[in-house]
Amino acid sequence: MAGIEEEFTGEIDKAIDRLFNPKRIQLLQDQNKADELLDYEQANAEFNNEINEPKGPASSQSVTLFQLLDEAVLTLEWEVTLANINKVQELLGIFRNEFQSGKEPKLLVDLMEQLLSVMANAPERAHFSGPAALLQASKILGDFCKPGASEKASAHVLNAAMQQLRNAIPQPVGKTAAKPSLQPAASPPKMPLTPLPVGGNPAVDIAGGLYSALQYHMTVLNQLTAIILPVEKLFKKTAGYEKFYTILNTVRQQIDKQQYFYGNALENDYRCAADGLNRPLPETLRYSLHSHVSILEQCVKRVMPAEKTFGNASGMEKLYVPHRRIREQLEKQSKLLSRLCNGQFRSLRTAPPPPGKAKKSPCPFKSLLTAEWGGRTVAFAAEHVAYEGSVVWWARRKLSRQEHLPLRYLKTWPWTKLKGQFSGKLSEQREKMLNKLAVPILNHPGPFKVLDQPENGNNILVLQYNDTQAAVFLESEPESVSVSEQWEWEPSTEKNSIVAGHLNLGDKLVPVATLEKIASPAAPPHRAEQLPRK
Amino acid sequence: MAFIDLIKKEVHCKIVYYGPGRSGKTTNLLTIYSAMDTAVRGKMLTIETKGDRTLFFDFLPLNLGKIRGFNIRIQLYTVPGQVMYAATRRLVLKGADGVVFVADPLVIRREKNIESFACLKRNLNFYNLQLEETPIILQYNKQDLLSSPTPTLTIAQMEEDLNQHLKLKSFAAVSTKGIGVFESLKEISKQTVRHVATRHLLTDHF
Repeated sequence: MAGIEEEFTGEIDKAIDRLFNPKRIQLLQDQNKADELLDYEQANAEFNNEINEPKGPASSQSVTLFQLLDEAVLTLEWEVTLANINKVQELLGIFRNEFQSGKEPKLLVDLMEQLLSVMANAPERAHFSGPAALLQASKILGDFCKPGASEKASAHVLNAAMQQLRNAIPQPVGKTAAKPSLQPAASPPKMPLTPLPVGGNPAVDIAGGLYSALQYHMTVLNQLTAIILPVEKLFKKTAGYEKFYTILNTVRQQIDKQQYFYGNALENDYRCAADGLNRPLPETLRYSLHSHVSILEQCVKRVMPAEKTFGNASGMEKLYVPHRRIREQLEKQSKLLSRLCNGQFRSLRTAPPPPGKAKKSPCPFKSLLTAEWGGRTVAFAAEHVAYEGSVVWWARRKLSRQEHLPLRYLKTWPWTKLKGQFSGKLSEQREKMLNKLAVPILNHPGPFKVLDQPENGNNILVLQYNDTQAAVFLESEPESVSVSEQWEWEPSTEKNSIVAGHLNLGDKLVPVATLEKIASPAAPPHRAEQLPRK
Repeated sequence: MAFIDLIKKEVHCKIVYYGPGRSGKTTNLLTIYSAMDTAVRGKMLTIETKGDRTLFFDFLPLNLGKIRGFNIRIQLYTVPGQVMYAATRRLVLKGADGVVFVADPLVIRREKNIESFACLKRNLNFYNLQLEETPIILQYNKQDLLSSPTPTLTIAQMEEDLNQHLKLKSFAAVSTKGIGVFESLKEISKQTVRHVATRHLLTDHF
């Protein structure tokens, strides 16, 4: 046995010696010498440039401060300790006073402080790139100390540094956030994570189509939060569902954060271009949208396993439906945003109004769902849509020639719960009540008064306005459209019509259907009726 | 613990470069990566976890070739050395078959070396491994600093701090120039493969 072992050891040694043969190492060392020479020459050239560079009347105090800050950040990069963090924080405080007037350095300092705070409070959560991001940011701050600072530190460089800092700041992750701390917990300063407008302007003009698409996206994110919250609460209360709770909690927090981020950006940093239309997508926004899409995709990946689990387990349909809806909406939104990133919001633009023509009133709705109804394109106010889906196979025959749609016909399976499928007031109804409710099926606004039937359209929308609900059968799948400010709105003068007005898209007049008029007291009742159960 | 695939006849040994922050662990790996033939080395990877927290460590697979029909592969890992990344360090050390402890000769880093070595011992114990039974070598890096005005420790001083009782094999190195890097790697590879073979392979399959 000893002989075999010795022989084997010999073979190992031989193989390892062969693998790391000295010739290769020699070659490497020669290469290193050449690199060293290059480095030396480069350093020499840089030194000469530095000497020849004319020095402006920089504020000596700021420069000294910068040097101190640079040293402190370098020390921090060397070793992350509480003492080093405190030193950098102290110097940043002094820097903050130096840059009271500038918005960009202030934002940068805010982010640096936020990262330092995380590093001190939850070192295990801080990203490894943190010290490097701080170093980069401190260099840019240093540039502000030099003459011609604002030109030197361009918006792109600033944005890159800020993005680096943001990447290093960890996302909140619910329960998993509790980590060892170097000092008593102190909440990091809150600040909006808004992208910096190029050129430091107060707000950047973006195309109307893009702006309204983003606003619509905000509304959908809001709806998503509303879907997630009750399920998340249920998981929180139920023992054994902690894993699912963590998933939904993380997704909701991500969505909330994104909503906050873009809500702020839309409010403060971007505005709908007054002249309308041919504005390219700003690079900073494109970059930020890309990262937003990847966050939404991450959320989809998180929800998917839970959806599959509930989909495969019998009796879990109630939990499957909201997960499916969350996933579908997230996917839809990430597709929409990807299209925006590719500049496809241009399709929403129209030609500017001809000079001299009086501008009509703006459309009262921010986003619409358009579909083929009665052979023509009709738009529905998205805020009035309580349900969007298709006719279920088993209900198709039962719905033939019906004037009302019992809501229970929207169930895929007898055990499917309706409550989670609706938004707005219908979602507040009890399951028992929803099972008994039926809503009138609306005729299309075309010239022929033919009762709409499932054979004419596979897609259903349930509309609601105050306490009035109605269903429509559509021939095509509804598509979301964000309303551009440039589209002319012509209110309808017809009474008791479901057409609230027409949108003039330049070459096309699209009727917008709502229940607003028919829901008024003067209008004929289209109230949901309770059907006697057979 | 080495990964052994008896059907494919493959053995994967894990070697971890351990040491205080800034001691030159990643430089060791980069030097090896740039010097090795693409036929024997895989891609150097940065691995990201699925969760929100991102853990990074360097990973370099090397193929040793066939010994007695077994394809021997070595996977080199580094741990983040800084104090704040203790959890990650422990995680990377899981399943290690061999360790290269990279020490820093700067006088101001003396305590850090001792602290990090003690931490290595603790982390190995966490995985039921003993410092005395695991293949470990010491690498005294940055030896080029000895001639600079920066106060540095001599090899004897570092031996006294870290190797007084264990009497591990040690190597002087300048990882930025590739000096001592391959010597260390050779030694730890031999020790590790021998260790794995003796414990898991030799008796049963060879």
